[in-house]
Amino acid sequence: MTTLRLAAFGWLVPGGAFLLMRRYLQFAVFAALVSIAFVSGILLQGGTAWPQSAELAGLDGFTALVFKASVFAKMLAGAPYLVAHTFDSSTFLASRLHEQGATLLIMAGAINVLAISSALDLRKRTEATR
Amino acid sequence: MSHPFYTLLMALLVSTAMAMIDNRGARERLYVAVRMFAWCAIAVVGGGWLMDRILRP
Repeated sequence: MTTLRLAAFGWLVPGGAFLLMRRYLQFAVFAALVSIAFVSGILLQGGTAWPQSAELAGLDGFTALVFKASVFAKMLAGAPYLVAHTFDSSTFLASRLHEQGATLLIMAGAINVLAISSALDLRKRTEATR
Repeated sequence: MSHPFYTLLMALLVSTAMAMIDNRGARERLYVAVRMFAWCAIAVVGGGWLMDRILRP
């Protein structure tokens, strides 16, 4: 199992990197955490839309970059983001009004990244001790 | 969602996630979760108190 495949599967399936490493408890907890954060974010009307160029018109470069980074952070949640994005018809600016929801979606992405980095770190240490 | 419940949810998510990283035993994971949750509570209460000191006329 290459590092890239582990990271890619870990991104797509929340906590999935632990599943491939047969660490089922960590997989279950991280999958539950990402799911709870993401579903809560969606219920609080957090949006998943990517900002369109018309929405970024008139903004300075840094603000536009922060807007794009916030959506990128939501994308890190993996499959839940892809599913929600498929059914989300709202615009980026409309979703910006719901800060609690947006923060929870970003939180879901951050927790998934934490799971991936932790799994890769554990794998590296396990290989080093062999 | 009320702010206290939202804050509680965030603190629970962060503390549980931090407890589940690394190769730890169950007892150590519990300690990390409790410690992290306590730090979240201290940060929220401390930050709230500081803001109250700053904003109180």
